[in-house]
Amino acid sequence: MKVSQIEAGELRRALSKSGLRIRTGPFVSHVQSPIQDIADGVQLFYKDFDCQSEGFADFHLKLVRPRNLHRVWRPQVTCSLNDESPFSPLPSDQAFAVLESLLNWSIYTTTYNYLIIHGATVERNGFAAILPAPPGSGKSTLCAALVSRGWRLLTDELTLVSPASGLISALARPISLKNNSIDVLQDYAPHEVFGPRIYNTIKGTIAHMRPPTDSVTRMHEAAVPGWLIFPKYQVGASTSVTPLPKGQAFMSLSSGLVNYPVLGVQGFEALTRLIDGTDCFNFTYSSLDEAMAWFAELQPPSRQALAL
Amino acid sequence: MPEAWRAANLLTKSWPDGVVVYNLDSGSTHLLNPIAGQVLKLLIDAPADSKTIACLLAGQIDLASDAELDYNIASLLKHLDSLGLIEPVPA
Repeated sequence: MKVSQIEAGELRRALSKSGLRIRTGPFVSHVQSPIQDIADGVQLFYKDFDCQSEGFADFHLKLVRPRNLHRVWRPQVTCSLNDESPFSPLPSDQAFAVLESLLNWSIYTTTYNYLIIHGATVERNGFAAILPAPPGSGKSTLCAALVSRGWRLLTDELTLVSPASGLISALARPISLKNNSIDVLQDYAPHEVFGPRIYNTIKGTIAHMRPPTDSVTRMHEAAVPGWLIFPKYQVGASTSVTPLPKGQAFMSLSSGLVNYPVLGVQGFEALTRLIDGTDCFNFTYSSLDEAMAWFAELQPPSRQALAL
Repeated sequence: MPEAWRAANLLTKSWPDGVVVYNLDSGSTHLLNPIAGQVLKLLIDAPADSKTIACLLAGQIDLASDAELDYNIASLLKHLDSLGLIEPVPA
């Protein structure tokens, strides 16, 4: 069953009682919450996702409003993952952003069968462009713009690389836009669906962009790593692309990896294989149109082209 | 300076810009320039002293085997030791 097949009132009842199990890529997350913003967010952003009311779940997430004095003068949301609370209470109008953070946290902290790269990934013609970057580099802006121009969304935040196959699995959850990039994307891609702004979060103002239906329905299709592109947004800069030597690319990528140290030999081998198979670049941009033009001209990665 | 050095428990991957080294015991990762990577690989092949490494390297990359090379290799070995990538062979 798709989330969109559940009527709004029924969806809220289901979430507030036994919860809903939502499949996001290789994971099933059991979400339970009586909060209206959570029901609204699930209905808006997860409409194309498979769900069920019972069955196995990898993660159990619960978001509630605590019954304390804050409830009267400043409502809060508390959350738990598998019955443990990883975050302090936050203002309840941030509930949907908390859910998204909790979904990321659940993968960050409990997943060891994938190499997890902190970065967005999009796909075209079977090849994935990985955009690893720290916050503020413009990766989500670039990712959202590419998705609005026909690239398939694999993930906005956590890139999952299988050490066994070397392929990238899709998550295709909502894209989290921050601060100025919200206006930029709403102007650049008015045909996409954006959620309400969530103010005063730890990352400033956040708004989410809904993943395209095509990206969600093709979430089971893994992609071959093709390009490793380190984006950097710089006000007023013209687009600049520099090939990145592979040793340096390895070090840049490994320094930001969540579970590379835990995976040990498996992580090292998965990473060397990924770097071997991709063309690596540093990419500085300010104009989305210029950036889209460069991505549109990307040639198949040289290693893959040799094999064809 | 120890008589001889040996490599720690390592995995390596060579690319044109250098050699990435993963230390299996500490979990640390390093990028060495191609020359340092070559020296490390010689020690992975077999323990050796500084003089022997200098001679082998001179033969491999067409360098004059002289006092300057000996000094540079000795310095490099100290640096690799400080990174935990090599260790002295017990006497």
